[in-house]
Amino acid sequence: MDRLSSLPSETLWKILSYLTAHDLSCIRMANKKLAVFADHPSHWRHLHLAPPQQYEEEQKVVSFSSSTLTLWSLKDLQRLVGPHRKIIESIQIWGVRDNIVRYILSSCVNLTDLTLCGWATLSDHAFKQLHSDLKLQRLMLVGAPEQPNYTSLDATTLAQLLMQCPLKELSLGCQVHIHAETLLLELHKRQRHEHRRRRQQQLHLQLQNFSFSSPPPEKQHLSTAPVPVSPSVKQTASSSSSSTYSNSNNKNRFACSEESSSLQLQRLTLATRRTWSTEHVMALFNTCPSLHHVCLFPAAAAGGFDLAQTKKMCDIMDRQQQQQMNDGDNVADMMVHHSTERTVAWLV
Amino acid sequence: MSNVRLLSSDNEEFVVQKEVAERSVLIKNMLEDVGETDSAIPLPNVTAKVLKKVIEWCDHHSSDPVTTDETERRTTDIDEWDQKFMEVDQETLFDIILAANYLDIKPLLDVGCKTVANMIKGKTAEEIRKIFNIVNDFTPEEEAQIRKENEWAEDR
Repeated sequence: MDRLSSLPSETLWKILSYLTAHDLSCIRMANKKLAVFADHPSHWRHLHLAPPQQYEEEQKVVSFSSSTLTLWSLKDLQRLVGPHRKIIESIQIWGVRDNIVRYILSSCVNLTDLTLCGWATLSDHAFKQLHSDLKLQRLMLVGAPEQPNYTSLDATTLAQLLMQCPLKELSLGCQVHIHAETLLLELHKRQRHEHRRRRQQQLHLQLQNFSFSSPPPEKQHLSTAPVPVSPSVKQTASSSSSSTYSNSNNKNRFACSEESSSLQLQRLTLATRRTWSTEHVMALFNTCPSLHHVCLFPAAAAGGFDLAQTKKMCDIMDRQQQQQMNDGDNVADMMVHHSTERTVAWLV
Repeated sequence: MSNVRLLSSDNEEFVVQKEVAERSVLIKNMLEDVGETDSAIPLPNVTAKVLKKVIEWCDHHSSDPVTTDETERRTTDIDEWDQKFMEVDQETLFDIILAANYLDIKPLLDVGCKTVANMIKGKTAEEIRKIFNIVNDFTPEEEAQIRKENEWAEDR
C-alpha cells in the first residue's frame, strides 16, 4: 500500500483535519481507506464553506458597483455536502442565494447552527414551508458591507420559523424589515393554534384510553369541545402602563401563558428601522418566555454589520448583564427591565 | 550540559545534548526511568538517515517553549525554516513523520502532517492518487455509490 494510506490512523486523521471540506471531498474519492478517514464525522460536523475557487460547473459571480461576490452553485454544494448532510451540525457559509439556504435547511436534518455571510438575494422563499422538525437553534444573517445586503424576509415567515424550530438565538445583521406588530400578532396566532392542536391531541388520547371501557362518544363532540385558551398573562409593569396597550381590548393581545409556549428564543439581535417601540419589545418578552436579550441596531439597517461586530455586541450585552447583576445599576444607554432581569439595547 | 548517546536501527551512534534529545518525549521518559547511564539508547524504528534529520530539527528547536495548546490546529502555516527542512523526497517525509510519531515529538509531527496536507490541498482525487502513488481500489459501482452517500450518514 502507498505511504499515505498506510500511516497510523491518528496521524492520517491529523493530516485530514488540516484540510477544507472541499479538499476532503476530493481525497475521499482517492481510495477506500482514505474515504473512510475523510468521511469521519469529526471532519464534517462543523463546516466553514467559502465558495470554491474554481468551479467545475458554471461560475456565478455577481458584480456590484464596487466589488464582486462569488456565489455557491447548488450543484457544487450538493456534491460537497450531500454525502455528509446527516452529520452536519453547524454551517457558516459565504455567498448564497435562496436555493442554497433552502437546500441546506431541508437536507441537513441535524443542523443546529447556521450563519449566512453574504448573499445575492435572500427572501422568504429560503425559509418558507420547510420540513416540520427543523433542529435549528441558532440563525445568523451577516450582511457584508460590499454588497446590497437587503433581505426580504418578512415578519410572517419569521414567526413561522420561530414556531417551527427550537431557535434560541436569532441575529439579523442586514437590511431587513421585520414589522414588530405583525411579528407579534403572527406569533400569538400561531401559538394559540399550536395550543389548540395540543389540547386536541390530549383530548384524543384521553378519548382513546376511555374507549377501552366504554363505546367512543360521537366524533363531533371532539371538534366542538371548547378549547380553553389560556388568558393568564404575566404583564410587566411597563407594558400595562404604556399608552399603546392601556386599552383593555388590546391588553392581552400578545399575551400567552408561559407553559403553552413553544417559543424558545433567548437572544434576538435585529438590525431594524425604528418601528420597534419599548412596548413591542415588552410584548415580545411576554410572548417568548425564555427571551432575555434583545439587541436592536437601527444604524446597522443602513450598512449592515459584520460578524466580529455581532460578537462584540453580544460580549457587551453579556458584560452589561453581568454588571447589572453585580451592582444593580442601570446602564446609561440601555433600557433595562429589572423585574425580569432581561435586557434590551438600542444601539444608535 | 550532559550528552546522550542514541543508537539508530542500522547501528549508527549519535551523541546529542540531553536538552536536544529531550524534545522527544519518548527519550525524555526513558532517561527519567533509567537515570544517569553511559549506554546508548537504542531506537530500533529509526534509521540513521532519518535520525540525523530528526536531530537536526530538535537541535534547531531546542530552545522552543514546550507548548501543549491546540488553538492553531486549523492553520497549515509552516515557518520558513521548517518549510526548508521539509523539502525532502516523499519517502523521507513519511519516514520523518513516522519517527516523530514514534519518538513522540509533537511539534515535528505537526509540521510533517501540515506539509502533507499542503500537498493535498486544491488537488483533484486523480491528482492526489498520482502524487502519492495511490491505487484506486473502488469498483465503478462503489465509486458511484461513494459520490452519493456515505456509511457514517447511513448509520444514523
